Amino acid sequence: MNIKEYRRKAESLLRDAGVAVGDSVALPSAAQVDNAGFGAARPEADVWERALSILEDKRAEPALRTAAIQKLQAGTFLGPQFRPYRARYLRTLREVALNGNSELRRSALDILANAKDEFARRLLTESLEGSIEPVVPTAVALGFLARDDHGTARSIARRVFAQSDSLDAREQAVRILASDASSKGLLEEAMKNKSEFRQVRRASAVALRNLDPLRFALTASLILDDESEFADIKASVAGAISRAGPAPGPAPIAPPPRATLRKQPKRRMR
Amino acid sequence: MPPPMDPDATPLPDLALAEALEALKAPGCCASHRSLLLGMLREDHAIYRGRGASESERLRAFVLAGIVRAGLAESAMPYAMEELQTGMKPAGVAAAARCARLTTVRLDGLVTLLSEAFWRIRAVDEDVDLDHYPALEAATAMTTACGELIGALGNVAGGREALRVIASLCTSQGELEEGEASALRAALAGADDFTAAPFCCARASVEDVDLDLPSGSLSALSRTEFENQDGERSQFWQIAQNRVSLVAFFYTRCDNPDKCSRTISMLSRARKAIEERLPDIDAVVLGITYDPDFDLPARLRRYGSDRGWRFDERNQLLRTTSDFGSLRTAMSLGVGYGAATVNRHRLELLLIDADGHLIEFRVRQLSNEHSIVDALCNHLTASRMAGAARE
Repeated sequence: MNIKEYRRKAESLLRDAGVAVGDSVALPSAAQVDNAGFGAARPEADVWERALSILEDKRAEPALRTAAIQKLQAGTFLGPQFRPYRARYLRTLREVALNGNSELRRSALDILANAKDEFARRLLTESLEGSIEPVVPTAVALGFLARDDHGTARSIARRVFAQSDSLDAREQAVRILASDASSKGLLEEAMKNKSEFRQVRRASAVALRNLDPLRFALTASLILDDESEFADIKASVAGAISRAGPAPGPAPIAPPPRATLRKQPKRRMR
Repeated sequence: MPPPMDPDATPLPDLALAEALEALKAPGCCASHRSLLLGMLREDHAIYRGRGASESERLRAFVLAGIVRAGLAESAMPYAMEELQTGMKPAGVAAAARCARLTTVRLDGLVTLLSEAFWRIRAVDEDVDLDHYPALEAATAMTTACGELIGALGNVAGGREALRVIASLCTSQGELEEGEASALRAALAGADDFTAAPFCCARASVEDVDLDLPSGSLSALSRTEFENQDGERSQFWQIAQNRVSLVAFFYTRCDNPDKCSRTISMLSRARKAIEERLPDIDAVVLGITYDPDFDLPARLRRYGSDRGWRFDERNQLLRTTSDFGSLRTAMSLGVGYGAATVNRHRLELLLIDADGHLIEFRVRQLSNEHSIVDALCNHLTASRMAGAARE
């Protein structure tokens, strides 16, 4: 497949997932940034004040609002200097998460999810439960929720895993279940299931090894002994065993998915 | 092995939660009502069941603020002080500061606690709504943790002392924000207009606060089988073997560095302090996880090693091998569970003598190794004197 065709397919998948491709934003030019009033030459307090004004302005160009988020987010690393703007920044991000365009919404939720923000958690949960319009694609929402292993995404992850055919959604669901000790059986089944997506099987193996190394080892040995098993799965499992060592590491933190941009593999049946 | 919590435990439905929270609207002066309200601050109360940690945090802050409004600030102070010592989220610290703001009991070290909380929370402070649950995004009565802490400092320390404390904080932390400055102006003017229901028979009551171990706790603990960081299984009495025991609860996924991580690090220092100051004492130092399904032996070993533990038969991290729920119930442990793991727990540390009797139960407070050795010394002195008197 050439790159143009791949891009067309990816955009089609994004549209199907509810992401409006047309309103995705490119980064603003340096001139745009300077004209907006938060160029590098200005004092930081002025820059943050201006960036907040732009972010709050629903009529501002999405590209500039995105740049404003980047400026403000960089400011958060300066701790005490940024403190006077923090509360307003969080308030504005919550507003953007609710009413911004898809790209802005995603950026805002990304930041809020990292902060384990309760408003973002509720918004993502209600979005996944279907009580409001989806704010981001399912896999992305799960990925955001997965960052809080003290959260409540387990039941949603189980439901998504039971109902969704999307590779990305299933993979993110498994990553969430990697911190749930009561999901060992489900993960073991997913790891063994030859009709499951390969990525999901691998993610299940990682999750099960994290939760129960012994159970993982037993399941892995069954896979290795199975002559009808796929060679790449056997290789992955053997690699995991050889790399594993006796001690499981901390719960894996799910990376934010770039959702549906990946090519969807066919599900192979036994 | 059954999990420590009911995996299918679901949060109370919205209606049931609203009904439970309705109790906060009445003043808390009658004994049964007071008990009902303070019971809502227990980590294992049904209103927190199945909720995530951040959601529980918000809910608990709302409950604490409601209890303060109901006139029970003094009874709630043990909870507030624990939050001021270890809280990492603005809502919880704001509610605790509001509690301290309205208490009339002057507790030692409260000014220090408030100023340390100010220092800890200021970098992550934000607007919080203590009057509504779920919080209203556009609530008119938003407050901040730092604003509440300043108000509390003003009331507890008095205007000039508060100014001195805050000025010293600001020397290292930069200027006051507008909200903080107005809170300080009000504190200095003695114009704190925050009010609550009048104190009644609830005044200075402590009997409803869960600071004691229930009877039968230690025998339940003694009978419980544990697995250590090496996968070796024994009952507690076999591990203790008629030695003095220092026992604390923790879990490896705890995301509050001032709770479990600090406790386990402190226990490893306590071991060294005991060896140095009380070389004749045969003691075991043990940590028991609240999350035994996740905290497998290898994970326990790594967690302890990272915090200075030298494992041997006198220094072990433990997980229950069967039903943690039974131990949790028997000891009335202060721990609640969300969908997958602990959503909140209190600080719990036990000192048990060689005969299996409780020397001290420290709850909702940080301990350090020196105070533990002091407690052991005091116990030994008292035991020797009692023995001498008998002879």
